[in-house]
Amino acid sequence: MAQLVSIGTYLPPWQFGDRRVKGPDEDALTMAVAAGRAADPASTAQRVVLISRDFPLLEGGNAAVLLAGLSLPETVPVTEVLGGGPAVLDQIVGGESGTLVVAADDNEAAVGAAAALLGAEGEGAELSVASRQTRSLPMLARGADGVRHQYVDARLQREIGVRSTLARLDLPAEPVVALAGVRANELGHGFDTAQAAIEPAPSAAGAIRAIADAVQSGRAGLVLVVEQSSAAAAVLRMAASAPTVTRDEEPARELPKLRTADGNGIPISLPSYARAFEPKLRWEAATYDDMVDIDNVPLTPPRLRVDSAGQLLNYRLEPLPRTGTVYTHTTIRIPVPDLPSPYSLAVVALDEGQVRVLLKVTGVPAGEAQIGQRGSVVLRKIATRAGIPDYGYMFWPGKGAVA
Amino acid sequence: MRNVAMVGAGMTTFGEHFGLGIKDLLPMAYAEAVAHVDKGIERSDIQAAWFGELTTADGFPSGILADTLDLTDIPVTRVENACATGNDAIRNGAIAVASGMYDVVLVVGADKVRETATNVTFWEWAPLTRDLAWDYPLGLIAPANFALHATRYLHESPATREHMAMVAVKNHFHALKNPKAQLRQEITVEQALAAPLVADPFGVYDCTPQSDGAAAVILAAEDVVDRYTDRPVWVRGLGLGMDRVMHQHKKDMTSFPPTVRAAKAAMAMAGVTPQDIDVAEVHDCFTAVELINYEDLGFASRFEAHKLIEAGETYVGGSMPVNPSGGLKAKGHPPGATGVAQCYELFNQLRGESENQVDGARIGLAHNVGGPTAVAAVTILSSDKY
Repeated sequence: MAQLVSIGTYLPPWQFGDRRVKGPDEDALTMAVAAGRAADPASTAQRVVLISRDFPLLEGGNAAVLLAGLSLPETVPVTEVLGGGPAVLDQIVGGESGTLVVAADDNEAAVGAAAALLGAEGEGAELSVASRQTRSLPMLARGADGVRHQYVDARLQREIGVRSTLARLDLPAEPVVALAGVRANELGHGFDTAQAAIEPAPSAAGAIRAIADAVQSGRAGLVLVVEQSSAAAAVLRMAASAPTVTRDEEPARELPKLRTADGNGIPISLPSYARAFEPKLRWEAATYDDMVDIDNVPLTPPRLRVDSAGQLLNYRLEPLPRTGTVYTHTTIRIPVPDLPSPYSLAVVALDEGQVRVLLKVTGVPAGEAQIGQRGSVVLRKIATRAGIPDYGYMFWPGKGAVA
Repeated sequence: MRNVAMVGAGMTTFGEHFGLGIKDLLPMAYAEAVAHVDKGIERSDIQAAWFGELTTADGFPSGILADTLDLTDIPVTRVENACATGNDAIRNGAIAVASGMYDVVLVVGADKVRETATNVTFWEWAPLTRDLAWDYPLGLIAPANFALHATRYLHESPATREHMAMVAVKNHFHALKNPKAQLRQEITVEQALAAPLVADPFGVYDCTPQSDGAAAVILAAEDVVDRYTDRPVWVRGLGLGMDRVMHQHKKDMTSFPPTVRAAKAAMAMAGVTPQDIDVAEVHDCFTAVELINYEDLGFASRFEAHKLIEAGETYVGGSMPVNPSGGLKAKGHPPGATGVAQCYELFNQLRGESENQVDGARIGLAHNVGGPTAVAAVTILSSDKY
């Protein structure tokens, strides 16, 4: 049994036709950070579980980016779970107080992320195990080579994947209030889905998003999550205080046409990456004992400095504001090799001081940023360099502070 | 300090020299410079050399210069100071002569931008001026470096894209007469404004081309100048200015503080004011940069540069002729060579021998800014010793 105290969701602000799609600077990790910050804006989580089938760094490295993006200490344990919707429900109902469960999708069926922060008994909404079934019907198969193989037979999926699996569940006689990974009409008889929040696409985040809908509607009942021929069920009960639901979900705009010209790839220096990682991903600047030579403005990127007498100055890293105003900008119209073009860059004056930063623009089509426009900084993948995702912050014009 | 004179100057044409390597361009520039020494000069007279090259082609720069000109018996030093490399190389050579250490030195500048494929040039050159972890992956291409300044400049000043186009039209017009120039075709304001955008607010005609080329000057101490010419051009002022490298650390992006600092130092050394300058070769890698330069160099009051170009005052024949060679915009911009080539143009101007002669020019100013906008060099030359 777990207590949901806060839920955060994120959807990319883009669509292609009627389908939500991610931007070129997004992946499961950047979306997980957006949802996680929405769920835990005060960075209180004591452990993090990230569930996805689309981890960008299969050999390691996701956790450090996630913690930095969530402004959580490096000491917080992160568990990476390879799984879909049922695994998300497992992690929530089995999670301890202080756990932030983050689910992220970055594939053809679904993009986006959602996160749930678990609290102590008596807090938020209560989610308890109802039933579980794990069977095999790999209608979609993907191995280490990343190639997707599909077995096409919608009736097989419905009859064996869904109905036969659900028949094995031992479910209480309650209405379904949250349904994920399956359409209502695929369930067959015996399920009351009239009031259910439904996220039909196979995904990890859909489970949390459907729960968020149910919570916001104040509906208690059955949560049912299906993936291929596995299913998990839980019972949602409202407690004294309703969980906070924060949705970082801008209305979708048509994804601008982008072109990536062929190049030889963008090189990377990993020593340079490693030195920059903490301040770059944690969005921190250096404040020195003596700030006179730098006009009393904290310095980003941080570096060693000396005073007028040649003594090395001590400095401490302090968080930078995450909102600001465009001071100047440009839009690169020509196709730059290895970068999706066109794109905009902006020098942004951050709030609460005089720190300026040069950032790539995200969230709006290239060319929209204007001098004086306010917006927020968000974690994004700046570039892929020699196969390595290089994360950092971008500026989202017009975006209010989420967390 | 001793007075220093320029006794010879030369340059190759600027352009896409696919058929010529750096080892070809260096002897060509040197031969041109020697051809301009009125009384001739022997290689053995040269006691030291400075070579300005921003990147490297075919090996380490100092060695290449010594090798290609058979100057292996003298010290050769490479100077690299971003786009201010050329004028800084001259500054270093001139200081060595002024100090009394050498009587005659050679200064060469060269680069081959077109030596790599167009789709890799940016990523190969970008580490020269960008922080590898923070700025490099942003895709801050060369026009974007300056476009960030230009956008803010257009926002704060009355200048418009039309004024930028006027700069392009002027410099293309000036280049028509310059046989060394890369782009020798006249354009109109309408053409410039209608051209495809590269990085807002710069269209294709607001940008310098990518160029290969080399230039050379020979400097001599006042004590020995008579051996080489009776019409020397005097190196009157030298200035080099720096600024914070990253854009986010620049307080006011409508001005280039390195230019202000370099100009102040050079003008103080020369004992001249901006109004004394008869002709200037300034760094117009992008048109708006020329407008900002007018103000930073003191040719126009703050935010009034547009009036100069609007009134045609910076054409040859105007009150403050700028870039009679066509500038970087139309003559071309092989970075290491650019500043040296500016001084080649001024050498000719001050001796009354330019193809685009400014009548009665006696004091000339050369200026580079780069890195992307964190260093500037200013050289003031004159036909008058004092």
